[in-house]
Amino acid sequence: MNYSRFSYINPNDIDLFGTLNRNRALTNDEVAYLFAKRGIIYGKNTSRELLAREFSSFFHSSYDYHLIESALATENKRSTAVSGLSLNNLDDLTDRQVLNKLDSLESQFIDDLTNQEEIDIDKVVYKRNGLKSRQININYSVYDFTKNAFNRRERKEAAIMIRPIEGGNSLYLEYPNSKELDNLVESQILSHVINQFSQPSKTKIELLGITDNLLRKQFFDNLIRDIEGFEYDTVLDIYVTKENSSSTDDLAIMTSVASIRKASFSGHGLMDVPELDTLLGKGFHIYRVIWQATSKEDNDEKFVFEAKFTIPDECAGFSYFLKGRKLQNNKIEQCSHTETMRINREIYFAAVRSLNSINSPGEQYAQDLSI
Amino acid sequence: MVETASTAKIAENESKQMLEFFRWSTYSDTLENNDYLCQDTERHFPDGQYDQHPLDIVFSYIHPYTGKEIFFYCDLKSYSSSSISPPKLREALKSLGQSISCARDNEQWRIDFSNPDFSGEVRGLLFLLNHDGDYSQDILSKLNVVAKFEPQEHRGNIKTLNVENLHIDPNQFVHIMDPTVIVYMQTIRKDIQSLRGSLKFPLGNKNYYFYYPNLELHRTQGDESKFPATVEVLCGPYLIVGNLASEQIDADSDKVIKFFPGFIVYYRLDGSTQEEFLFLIDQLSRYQMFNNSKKVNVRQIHLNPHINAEKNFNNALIEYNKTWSVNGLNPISDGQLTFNQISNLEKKFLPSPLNGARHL
Repeated sequence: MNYSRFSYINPNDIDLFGTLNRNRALTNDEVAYLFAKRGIIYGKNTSRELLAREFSSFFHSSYDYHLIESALATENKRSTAVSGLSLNNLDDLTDRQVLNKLDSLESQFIDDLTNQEEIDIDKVVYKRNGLKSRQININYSVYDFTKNAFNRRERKEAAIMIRPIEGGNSLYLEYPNSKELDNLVESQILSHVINQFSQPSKTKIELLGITDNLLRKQFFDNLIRDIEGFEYDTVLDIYVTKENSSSTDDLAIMTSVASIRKASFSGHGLMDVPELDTLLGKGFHIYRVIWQATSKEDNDEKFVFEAKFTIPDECAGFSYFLKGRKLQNNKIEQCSHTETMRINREIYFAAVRSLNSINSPGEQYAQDLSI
Repeated sequence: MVETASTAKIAENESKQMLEFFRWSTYSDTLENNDYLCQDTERHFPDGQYDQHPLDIVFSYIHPYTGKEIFFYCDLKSYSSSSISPPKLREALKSLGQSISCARDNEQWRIDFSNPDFSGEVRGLLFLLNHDGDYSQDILSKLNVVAKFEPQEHRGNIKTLNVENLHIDPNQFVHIMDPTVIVYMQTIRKDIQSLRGSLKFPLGNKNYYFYYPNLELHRTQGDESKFPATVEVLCGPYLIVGNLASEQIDADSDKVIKFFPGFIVYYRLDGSTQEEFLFLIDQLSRYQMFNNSKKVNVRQIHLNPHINAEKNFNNALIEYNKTWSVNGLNPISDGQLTFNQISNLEKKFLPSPLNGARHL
């Protein structure tokens, strides 16, 4: 689809009428400003419907629309789940040499990201973070054409972090967890980076080949106990699902009084409760865990983490993040950006270690793909 | 400079001639500069010393979308950039708000301008005239609701006018035509005259009209050729003038000049971004203005147009065609949409300021 056709909003008069009349996100001052810019002032308590009808009949400029759109936009600054992957076997180059190779791709990254038609890109910035990492900041828009024109465009920001792992002969890539970014990183970034090295291999966390539900549990169990710098405390929430299939077993279950496909538990020590093992024995598997752990360095402060597969049935689309620091009143306070990024990285590498530990000999569940 | 009686008359005549071009109705001179009895003295004149609302002049038109007759209770004021202040502006707007509140209830006013069974709407219109050609003051930025959103325009210490304290009745409107709007209107009128002189626009008042597209919620009513340029259009970002197919003889060569239907879009923004033009072109296209190979000429009128305005327009057109091109065919063909900047703006309206209370 040619998204540039939608890269500027152009609502019709119904959109305008509906937005000004009903949407209280637009304050009275904002509506008064739209009119005052045309030299129009009106009495206090003038009905919104009258104002909406009037304004929707005018000729407008892009500035009118941007004002309305930005007034309606709500910024979401909460930290979100990320996805990650690593690229290994990088010809034994130093971090500096690896970063130089990335820098040589700067214009290619920008051009390719800007010109692709999968996502409507507004802006791409390639940023050098000294000798530590490189960052590609993307501003993009996603559309929902079932919504009013002012709400149908959602402006998003994403930072794709590329970081050499010190002494590891590998690169770690991290980006916000979303299907569109997953595709974008694979097709527009990773493909170029891979070409810079002779025989790199890619590691992506997936349990596609592991069908044993106890091994799947083992994956999460290892992961939550192995975050560098943290002492595992307890699991707070655990989510299980049962793969949807048309096997005769399932039909039998469906014909009973009720059927369960997904379930969640909240509490403490959930990995060890017998109810969980009962469900695992009936074909359920874990796909999401929220747990807390104590910092070994930070005065025993508790932190809350989450790891999940966004495609639960297949245990694919691994995403994770540090939810924050747990306060005395049990509320979760968001950590700094730097702290979050550092600990997110630790979750990823704990997942890699966990995956390797449950691998059967000779198998490569960690999707260690030679390219 | 002292106003003479003729300066006020010039202001009234000039404003009438100008607004007639925009298809506003005007009234006899005998109905100008009258006072009308207040219908709500307890609220408007609590000290009891006065009971009249002053009126300079009235204009009216039938709105193209609603079919409703709109009357403008008009106050003509001149100002100097050094003298205008929020308190003076406030007095003028407050007085207009009170006047329109009473006008529809005043039988004499109804008889003078309409009929006793008046069913129209009365709005206030502050017509701010300039006599010194100085446009450094942004009048609208003196309104608190504008200053709040444009802090860069409103540098610190200047007081603003709180529009909520004007005591305008609910559902009533007061319009301000500031000098930049008046320059825009005068320049449009002169530009059309100039285009006619160079045989680029047809002669005759019946050969042009102000274009209003049919929208989803708003459909035009009545004879298109009689539609006025409404106050909202005149104070908005652009105005569309259409011309009908016609023929006329060139007096110099005796040749027949044919005019094909087309549009002029008078554009009032500074043109500082490509996006604003992309948006404009998309709007014009949505209004079906490029159908049947009609030509559209965008003519920018701005006191300080952006240095890249023309480039921005041309780039926006290229971008638009690139975006919407299907099988190599552009939605807007070469030469169909053109851009001009009008450099000779009609900046002076009055030879001298108006007198007394008429000068802010």
